[in-house]
Amino acid sequence: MSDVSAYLDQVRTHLHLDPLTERRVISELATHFQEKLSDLRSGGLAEEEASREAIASFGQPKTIARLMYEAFGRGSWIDALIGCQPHLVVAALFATHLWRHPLLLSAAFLPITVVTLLAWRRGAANWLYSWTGYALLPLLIVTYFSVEPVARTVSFLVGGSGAPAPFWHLAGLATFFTFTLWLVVSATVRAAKRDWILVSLMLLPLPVLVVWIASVSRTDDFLAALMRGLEARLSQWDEAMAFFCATLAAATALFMRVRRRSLKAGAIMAVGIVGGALAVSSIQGGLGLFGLLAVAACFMLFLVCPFALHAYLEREGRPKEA
Amino acid sequence: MPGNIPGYDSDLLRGNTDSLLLFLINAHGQTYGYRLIKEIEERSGGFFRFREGTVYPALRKLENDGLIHGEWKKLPNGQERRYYTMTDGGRAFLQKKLDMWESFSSAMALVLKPVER
Repeated sequence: MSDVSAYLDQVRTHLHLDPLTERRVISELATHFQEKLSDLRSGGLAEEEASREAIASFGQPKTIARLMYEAFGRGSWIDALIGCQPHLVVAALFATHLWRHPLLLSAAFLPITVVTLLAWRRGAANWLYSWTGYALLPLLIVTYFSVEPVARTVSFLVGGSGAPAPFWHLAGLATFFTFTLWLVVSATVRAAKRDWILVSLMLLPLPVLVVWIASVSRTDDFLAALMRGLEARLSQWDEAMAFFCATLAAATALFMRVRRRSLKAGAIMAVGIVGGALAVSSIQGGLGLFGLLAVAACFMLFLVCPFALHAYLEREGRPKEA
Repeated sequence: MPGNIPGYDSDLLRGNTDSLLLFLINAHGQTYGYRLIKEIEERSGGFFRFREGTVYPALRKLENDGLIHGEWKKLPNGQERRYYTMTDGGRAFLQKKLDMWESFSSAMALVLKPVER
């Protein structure tokens, strides 16, 4: 690999832009280098010396990548509006207590899933990642509620108590769990190859929603209550959840509009950690300061994990998504 | 972001990069990044020297702001090059900047002339 190619590769590594924009940026810089090298060679410089001179006059790859990111990475107001839509939809479902109606819930999540799938196929705009988190949610919910037959079977095998689930049931669940895991892992890895903060954006609503689902499903006779429609016990956290999702919408809009990566990361971390801890505190009730701090620390770890994944993928030298 | 060239404050050039780029794009009708960089250096007698990589983000920002329009064109050798042209908004913005610069430099010249004792 020539010095210039290696240099452009370094710029590319730090760009964190969508694949199409990345290709265009690198293509423009490559054309610049070819012309510069040609001029320098005409001026009497040897190949190696010309490459060195061209690279030196271009600037540090990390700095150039950062400036490029700031120039390209700012989404339009339309991107911001699209990006915060799923948060707003879920906030509205909570605010109106309509999440308990399966048909309305499906009507809300089906378009989210379809748009997400289409957007993944077309290439990844930044707003897609906030949609992906919600598109994965139905699968995670079904997984959560499907664990019972598995637990029952494990309990039978280990302790000999109860009755195991039928084999066909377990085989179906195993297939479903594997599919869900594959989907979550591939979406996460694909996003992490581009930029870890996009993974954080994608996962942002999930921890609080998981805590909420766990709390709601602990309600006595949850399914019967759900079927009866308006049941006050199920609605007690709706206000907190609506507020939390609306805050996520605001953070996502900010994420789309600011140029600097540090500000993007700051926006989602602040809302994910502080907003998430407050929402959980409201759901669980009486966590106390230490409990609140512990939850905040867990959320921080969860949202920073993608950074470790991104670093690992970079270290492994896996090619960036084409 | 220009490099640290002795002789002027690099912030001064940084603050006026947009005007220089817009002026040259307007003058040529259609031009590209490398030519802009070369021309600024040549016209200034080598006084203005950019960190060349910083010109492209600056061009992109001008494009985002609707002041210029970028378009890919295929060269005879099969390579692609991005050409930039002015928009009407860009022309109006440039005129405003040039007027501002003229007033500013005239005022500076008036203030900086030797004081009569």
